[in-house]
Amino acid sequence: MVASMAMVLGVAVSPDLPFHEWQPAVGGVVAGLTALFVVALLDRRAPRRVVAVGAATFALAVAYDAVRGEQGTLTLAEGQGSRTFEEEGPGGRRLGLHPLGDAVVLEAVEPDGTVVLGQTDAQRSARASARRAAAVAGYRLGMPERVPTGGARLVLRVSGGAEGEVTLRESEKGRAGDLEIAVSKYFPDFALDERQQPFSRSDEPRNPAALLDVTRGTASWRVFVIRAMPGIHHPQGLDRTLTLADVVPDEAVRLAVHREPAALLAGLGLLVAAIGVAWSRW
Amino acid sequence: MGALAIAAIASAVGFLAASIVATVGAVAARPRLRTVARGIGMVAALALLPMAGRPAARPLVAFAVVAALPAPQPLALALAAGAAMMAALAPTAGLGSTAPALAAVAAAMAAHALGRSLSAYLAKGRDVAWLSSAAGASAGGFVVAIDGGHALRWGYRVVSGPARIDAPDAGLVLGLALLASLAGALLLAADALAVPASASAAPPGASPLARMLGRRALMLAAGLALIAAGLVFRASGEAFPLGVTRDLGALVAAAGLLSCAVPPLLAERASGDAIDDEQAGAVISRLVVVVALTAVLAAAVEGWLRSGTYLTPLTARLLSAALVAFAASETAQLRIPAQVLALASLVLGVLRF
Repeated sequence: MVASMAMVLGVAVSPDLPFHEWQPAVGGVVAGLTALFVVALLDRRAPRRVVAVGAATFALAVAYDAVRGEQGTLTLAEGQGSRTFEEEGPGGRRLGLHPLGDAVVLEAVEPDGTVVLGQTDAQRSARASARRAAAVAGYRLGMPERVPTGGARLVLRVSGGAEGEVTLRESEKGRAGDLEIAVSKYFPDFALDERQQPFSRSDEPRNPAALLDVTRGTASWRVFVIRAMPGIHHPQGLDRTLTLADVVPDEAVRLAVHREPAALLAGLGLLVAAIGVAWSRW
Repeated sequence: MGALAIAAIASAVGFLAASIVATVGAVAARPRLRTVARGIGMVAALALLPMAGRPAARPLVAFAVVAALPAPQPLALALAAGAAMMAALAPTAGLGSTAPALAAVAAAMAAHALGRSLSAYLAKGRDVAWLSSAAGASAGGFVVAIDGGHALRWGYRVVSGPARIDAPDAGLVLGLALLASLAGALLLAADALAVPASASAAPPGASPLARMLGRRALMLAAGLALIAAGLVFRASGEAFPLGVTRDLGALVAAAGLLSCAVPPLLAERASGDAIDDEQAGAVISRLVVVVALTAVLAAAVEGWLRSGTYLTPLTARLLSAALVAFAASETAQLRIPAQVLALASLVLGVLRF
């Protein structure tokens, strides 16, 4: 009986057999089976009871963290701060914003991907990398990963007369040569839909293009620029050539956020269970 | 390829040789051969030790060393050959971790426990054809598993990032190895099944021809698996992506399993002490659970320190393996299938890290 229950539990908790994705009720079945498993172990001689105590402690700790623990992601650009993170439920379901214990600021991103995080109230910094998580604002933050934000700085070049170059973000305005240029719309991955309307297929700058509002004195033009085809659009009356010379995508860092109050108890449970098995009659 | 990698490949060959010598020593009841196998295994393990400096190879080295240490167990040594092959091609850089190394130790001990249970099964005078058939089916499973089952279409591809290199010669040999191993498995299983239960005392097998063909099919499959490993190795050129490394390990382990499956079919009578083997198997099974639980604890601590959570996929995978190993240590009737599952889940835990 004990062996059968251990086998079923072992198969049910395996991440390689995603029973939870097929049927959400599996979580409840696993909880019930764990309780039965512990009871069955208790009904044995002394060493098995030690295993039962360890298994029960571990199971309770995991259950507590599943109910009261918190997990999610925090995405910050360099210099940006936040008092909340995006909380996730079981299966990565988004639950909305959840407050952190303090404001967390991404102070710097080092070349090896290590991030330096500051806490506004505590006036201290912590470092998180792929090798080590950091305790910040009552949570453990780790696994930093660079992600595109969808925004970018567009390097626009004017030629064919008064030459110049300007770097602008979407809805920003700047001057290059004798032209006043504003980025009306940016398409990171430009494409046309079935009605020949422009849209962006993704946030990745795979085929960047932009629609510009260009003015000189009282004259104004709408100019379309695309990096793949420089100088493709020549509006009537504009004696300059505008090209999208480069795109510098904006990047942020996404951190995994966890709070598991019963982590120590879970470790203790595992240790007691291992001692219990080792203590059993050989 | 560096000197360390060449030494590790030589170590894989040594483990293969040790597994065959250990099998012959066990079925022929010749302790001297078992001593020779132990010596070969020890030397092979020593040759592999310098690879422990590479974090990615550490669990594989741990597996091979523990497989060679306690006793010359054919199954453990055959799997150690695959581990040594993978260690030889492991990347030099990587993130060191204690949990997979502990899981590998538990997996090697699980291989020992399973080996002792199989010895007890044979010592009771049971038909060896079932075990040889299972070895053939397992080897066939290994061949199907590599490269996403491309052997079923007589193909093999080396996938390295965006690049894909077709190796039709390797695919052809893999397909033949699959056919030979399955043919051997089916012939031996059919022969064992054809013997009525009342005839257990009679010479094993219903048809000597079927048994001979099955045995030769397994030998052919072992040779083809080794040739396929050579062709895959050559097709990979200088770079060995993780997938190719695993494929080579699986092929070498398959060749080892098939080689160990043949000598017992030639034995005239059962040998070994069933009670001694069963007791040793039970004790080692219990040890497997202790080490597996320690690996779960290590994975939880490492996950908490690195990712911020102790509930990582590695923790869940090793917990699952520890529970299955616990089931295997608690049951007497279905011990062998449970031990096979425990070994498979522990090996999976190490390989999927």
